[in-house]
Amino acid sequence: MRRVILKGETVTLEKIEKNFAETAVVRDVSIAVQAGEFLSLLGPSGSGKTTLLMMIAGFEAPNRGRISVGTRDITFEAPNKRDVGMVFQRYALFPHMTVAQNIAFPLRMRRCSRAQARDRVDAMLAMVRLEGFADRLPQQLSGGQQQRVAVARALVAEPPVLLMDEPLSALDKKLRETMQLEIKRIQKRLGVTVVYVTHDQEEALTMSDRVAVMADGELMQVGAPIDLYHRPANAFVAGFIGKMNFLEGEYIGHDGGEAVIRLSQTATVKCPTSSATAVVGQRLTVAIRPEDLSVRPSGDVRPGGFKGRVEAALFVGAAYVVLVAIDGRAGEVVEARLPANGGSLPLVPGDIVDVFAEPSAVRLFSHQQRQAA
Amino acid sequence: MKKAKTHKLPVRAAISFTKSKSWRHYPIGLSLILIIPLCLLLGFGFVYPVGRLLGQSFFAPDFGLDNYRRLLETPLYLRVLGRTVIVALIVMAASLALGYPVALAMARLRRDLAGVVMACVLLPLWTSALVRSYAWIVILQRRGLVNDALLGLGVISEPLKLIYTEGAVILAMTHVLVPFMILPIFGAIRAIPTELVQAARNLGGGQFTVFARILLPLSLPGIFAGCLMTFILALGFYVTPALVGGPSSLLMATLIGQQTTETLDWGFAGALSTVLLCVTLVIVVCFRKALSNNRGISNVA
Amino acid sequence: MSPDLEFALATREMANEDKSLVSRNSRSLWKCLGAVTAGFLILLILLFLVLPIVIIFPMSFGSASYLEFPPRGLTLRWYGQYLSDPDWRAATLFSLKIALATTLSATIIGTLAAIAFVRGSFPGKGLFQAITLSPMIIPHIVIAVAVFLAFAPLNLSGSFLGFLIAHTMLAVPYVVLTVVAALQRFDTTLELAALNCGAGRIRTFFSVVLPNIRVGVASGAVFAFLASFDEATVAFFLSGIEGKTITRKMFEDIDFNLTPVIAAVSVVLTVTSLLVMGALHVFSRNPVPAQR
Repeated sequence: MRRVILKGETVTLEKIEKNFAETAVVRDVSIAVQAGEFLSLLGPSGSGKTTLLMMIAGFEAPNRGRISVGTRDITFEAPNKRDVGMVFQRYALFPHMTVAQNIAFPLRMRRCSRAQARDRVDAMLAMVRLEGFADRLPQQLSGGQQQRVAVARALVAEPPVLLMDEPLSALDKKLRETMQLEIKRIQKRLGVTVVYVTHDQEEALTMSDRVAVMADGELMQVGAPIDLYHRPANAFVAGFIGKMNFLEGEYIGHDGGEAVIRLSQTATVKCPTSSATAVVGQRLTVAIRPEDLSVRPSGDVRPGGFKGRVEAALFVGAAYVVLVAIDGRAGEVVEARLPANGGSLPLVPGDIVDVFAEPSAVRLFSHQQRQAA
Repeated sequence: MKKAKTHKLPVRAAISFTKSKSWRHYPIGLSLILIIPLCLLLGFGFVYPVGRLLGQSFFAPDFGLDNYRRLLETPLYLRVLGRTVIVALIVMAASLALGYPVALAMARLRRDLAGVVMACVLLPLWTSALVRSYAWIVILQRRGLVNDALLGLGVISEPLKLIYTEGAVILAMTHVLVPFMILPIFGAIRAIPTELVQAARNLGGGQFTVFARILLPLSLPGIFAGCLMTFILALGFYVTPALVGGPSSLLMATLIGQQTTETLDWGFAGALSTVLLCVTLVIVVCFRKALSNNRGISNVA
Repeated sequence: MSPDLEFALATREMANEDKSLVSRNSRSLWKCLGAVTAGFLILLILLFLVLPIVIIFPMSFGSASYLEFPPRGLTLRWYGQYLSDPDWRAATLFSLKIALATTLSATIIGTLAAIAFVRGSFPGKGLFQAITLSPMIIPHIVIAVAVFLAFAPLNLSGSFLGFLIAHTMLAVPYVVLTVVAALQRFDTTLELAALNCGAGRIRTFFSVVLPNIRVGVASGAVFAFLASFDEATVAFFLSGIEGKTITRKMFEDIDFNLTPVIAAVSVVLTVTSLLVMGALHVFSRNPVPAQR
């Protein structure tokens, strides 16, 4: 039995555009995926991420742009000549073939000798931990097992690139987490380049080297998970990745090196000027992550904070989630996430509290951007 | 999820309007290659012969509407046309009356019993209409089963004339066509969720109320389909009337047959065929309309 | 005759569930009485459906030379006569030849067309579909007379080729319907998966699509066989003195020469139909499953 060793290749998308009838589904998307990188395409339904994947697989051709793997231009290459493995959403295992026949199918198409094919299939089965399942039919396997077979089939011909179209969406939460680790393990071991489509941001963040966020056919941002989380390029990414409080505010000037944004009559927040290029009086959207807000019983006023009334305080296991109405009004409510350090929270609904956010954790987006998102 | 939105309709449109290629559908060229054999077959084996026959009605022996005038001016032919429609209607009604209870039983009975009923429906369906017509001759002829039995019992002293009558045609044709009524109705009743019936019973509906208010209205599409099927088949049926019927029970199909095998009047046969064809198509269209209206109503309700 | 698609679908559904007997709920005597009456009524209708066919069997074994029921003695004489009569033999072989060839051509042509209808895209698709299915709706007498009128001058009447064309045309709609239904149930991502594995279009069709729609194709083939073998109207007009189908021969004999041989032939026709349908049933139940 030989080890399966792959070497990933780069995948380059240049100015890809795709229209269905008159509607643009993918608009001017360029992404360069590194060799051996795990890149996720993340976005809501209809964002064009699956279409993009279909174009890399060759099932659709772009109206414009260029797709290449390594140095090979595959924009108009037939899907069966691309040498790009793919795992489909519902696995798409051939129901009339056994597990072994399914995995051997790509090898048969490549006129691999019988003995060699058997060795490779055995190696793949070992890799996905399905030894002994070779002669089962797909419908005799559980969802997770079918998933592994699909991965084995996609990788058996040693393609430099593996595409995955929401491969875990049909599995329950527990199994999904196990499979995430499994897929990562295989990818690390083989060094194959993975382009992974998902609408689950948590999945994208935990698995990917980099994540490409898409919305409405456009590429919003490409970056490492940590960059997307802490430095979202726009309000859409800020809102799509993790939890985010969005507040309407007005830019009222500087205070030292920091911009001051008024949220209401009495509430203001500060943020680094670098992120604000605004004129006085401009309406802006303020974005603050729940865990970047601190909430304390009233009295401990710090500059840059504001008063609010606790609407609800919920224990969610690892943390407390506190909903605070700014100024005590019912309208604007922010969510704060406070670490639960074993102790109980000294806050109950109705308490007046001080809310404070570190200026460095506050981000500003223009009003229009927020609306678009 | 997204697939439904982006791939189903738009892709098809994309194919016809832009050059962009999708592998989810076959390109036009390949589609046409796949369909060419069928085109040749239907063109030569169906469209050309039928077109030619219809054309004959205007051109044989001379150009004009003579054949149609003859049809309209001869009471005999009009009577045949009327009889054909009436016989078809009776056959349809009889099929419905016999078929509905069977379909209902098949859909509502326990599985093993339903299987037996199903077998009884499928046996005639899979038997040649010729064989079934023959069976009816055996049963109805002068020295057939019915007459023998009646004579033996002393009910009659002379054999009755059962065969070669309109009644025989209706009986045999109903026998041949009932399965075509049963299967669509069965399909429609099967499609009614059992919970619906149970709910109705639960709400206090009696057997009859449940039938009249739930089963019957919801099985209407099946009834329509079955009626359409049996009616148009009865209109154009040849084998059974030709074997079981007599000169007094001439129908359109047998008349057309007569024109081609005995009098060799192709023009008139063409005219009769055209009329039969038109009646059939009009009925199909009407039924479709009725069916879509009915669907509309049940959707609203 | 022409079996219905809805039936196939309905039976498949039926295999999945179980139903309680309707009469379980009926407790009162009145209801019982109603159920018994209904049951009796249905029994009568079923007898009406089945008996005329069933009586042919004992009749074909009856010893009297005229038709009698119930038969007094049993004999295989009529089957012997059927088999030894060169006319019957020729007609049977001719019919079988036509039916088998029709099955082959209708299945291939119909399957190709069904693929084009479901997966392909070309202008006028709706019209094509309507024309394809119209031989099922248009009265067979019209088709029969038309085909005879068109084929006779071309020396196609009474010929194998003429029958092949006419019967294929009549049988193709059944194949198209069953294969279209099968293709619509077929998950097209399997096809994409095969392409992705490196298979070309044709390879994909034979290794992935065909095995998964085989039950639909087989049903279509069986219906095509019966549509040809049991077909009597077109056969009646298109048959010649030489090329005569079993149905035409039977037609003639019923009209002129009503002997128990016809009962024997009827049994042969019926048993053939039942065997073919039974084979289909066994085939579609076969382990695995290819249907989704």
